[in-house]
Amino acid sequence: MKKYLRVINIIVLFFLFRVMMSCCMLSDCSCGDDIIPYSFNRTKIVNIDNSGIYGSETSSNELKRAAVAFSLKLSDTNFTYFDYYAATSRPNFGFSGAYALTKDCDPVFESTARINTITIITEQNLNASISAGQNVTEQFLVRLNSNPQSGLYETLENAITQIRYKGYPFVVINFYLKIPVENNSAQFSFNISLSDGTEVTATTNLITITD
Amino acid sequence: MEKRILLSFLLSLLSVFVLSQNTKKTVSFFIGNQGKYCGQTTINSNPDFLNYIDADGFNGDLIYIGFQGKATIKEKYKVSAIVGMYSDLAPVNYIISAAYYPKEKIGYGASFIGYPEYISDYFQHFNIYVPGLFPDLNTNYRQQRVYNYGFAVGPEYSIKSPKVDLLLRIHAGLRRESVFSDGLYQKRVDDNYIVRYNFETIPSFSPYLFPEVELNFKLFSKNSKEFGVRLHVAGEFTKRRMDYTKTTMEWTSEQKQVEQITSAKRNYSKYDFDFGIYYSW
Repeated sequence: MKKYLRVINIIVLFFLFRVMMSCCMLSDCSCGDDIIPYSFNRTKIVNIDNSGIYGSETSSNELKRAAVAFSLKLSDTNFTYFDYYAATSRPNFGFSGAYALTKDCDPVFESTARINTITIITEQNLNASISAGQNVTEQFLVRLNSNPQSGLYETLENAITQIRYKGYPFVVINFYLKIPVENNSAQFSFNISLSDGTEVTATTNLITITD
Repeated sequence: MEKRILLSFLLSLLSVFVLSQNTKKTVSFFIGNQGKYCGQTTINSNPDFLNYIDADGFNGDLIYIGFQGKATIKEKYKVSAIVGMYSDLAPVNYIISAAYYPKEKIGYGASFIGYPEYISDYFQHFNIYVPGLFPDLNTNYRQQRVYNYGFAVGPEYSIKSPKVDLLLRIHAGLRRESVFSDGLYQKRVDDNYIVRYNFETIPSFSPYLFPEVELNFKLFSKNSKEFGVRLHVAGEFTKRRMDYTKTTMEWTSEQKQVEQITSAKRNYSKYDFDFGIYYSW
């Protein structure tokens, strides 16, 4: 009986030790400088309803003629729930599903590639002079966040140089069409050329243009 | 920072006078009322920011309390500093003067005035309804403080009697205000179009007249020490305008259109009226 109790005590102490390790009591609990790399292997385009003062993402495929706007998100399929992942990625002897820290340590991600260029092709006729298949990149302006009081728009060329690749495991760029769509529908393809030589694409839904 | 340096210098100067022989020192405490009148101009396509001066104060005329320190040396040199504070009790309202009296009643002096004023809700101009436009994306109440200051010189007249001391001062000089700047965003309804307007004033000096009257009524006196009540009125008369540059940026900040907007001059006047007690020795 005493032997069993001794074995149980050792096992309990072992797992108690692992719990304490999870709580960072016995090791250095600094946030550390580890940066988690991520890649742009997923794209998502959401429509923006910019008819009012503040633009907002919308699931509707109807946009106003002069307020066509989209939000392009580039992210990594491995980090859909990146907070959870970061918490469990901390390598120590403790339980991966348990952790407690004296301060919040937000994980820091950094993309392995940079955006070189973005090309936008219209899949539908925009007006009498811009037909389907044409490059309409110059007709779009961008914003790196959605707050209208954060400033005016930027050209895509300027905005690309200001993208922050370190922080969260995604990049969001909002695109705003400068010219009204004269057709009754619109659709655009975004071709993103990355610094590692890869290209990713994203295509908007077929948009119904309303007045 | 400049106000603190000026005030420190003046306090030091007053201290020197205090320690000097043949110096009459006076300290006063008072409560007063400040009012302003600023003529309005016609609104055209661009705002005139002087139309939005808080002439009546936040709740009517501005009430202030303050202190005065005066020193008279050998009846020939007179220096005075008045510091007023509004409801926030910040010493922001100044009248500082120094004079030389070659004769008993007539002297020549210089004065410096400084005081703040609010410009409030100055983009009302854009809130006139324009179909198809959000005229101002910032719906918060706007208010800024500008500081006015002036320097003047001129003659003074001072008479003393057993019961009343009177000082009359009429100075003329140049005044201006500090820079005021702000901007707003506008956006079209159902449209991605957005425009930013930046405004920055171009202050310039303008001549002003500064009359001042001070009456000291002696209530008690003994061995060259006096106690009494003090009445003080000061005015400022000038013609002001607030020119500015207007920078227009449509869609992006890369293409800017800069215009110089000149506003019309209008009559501006300010008065300070305060009443208090004084003690001199």
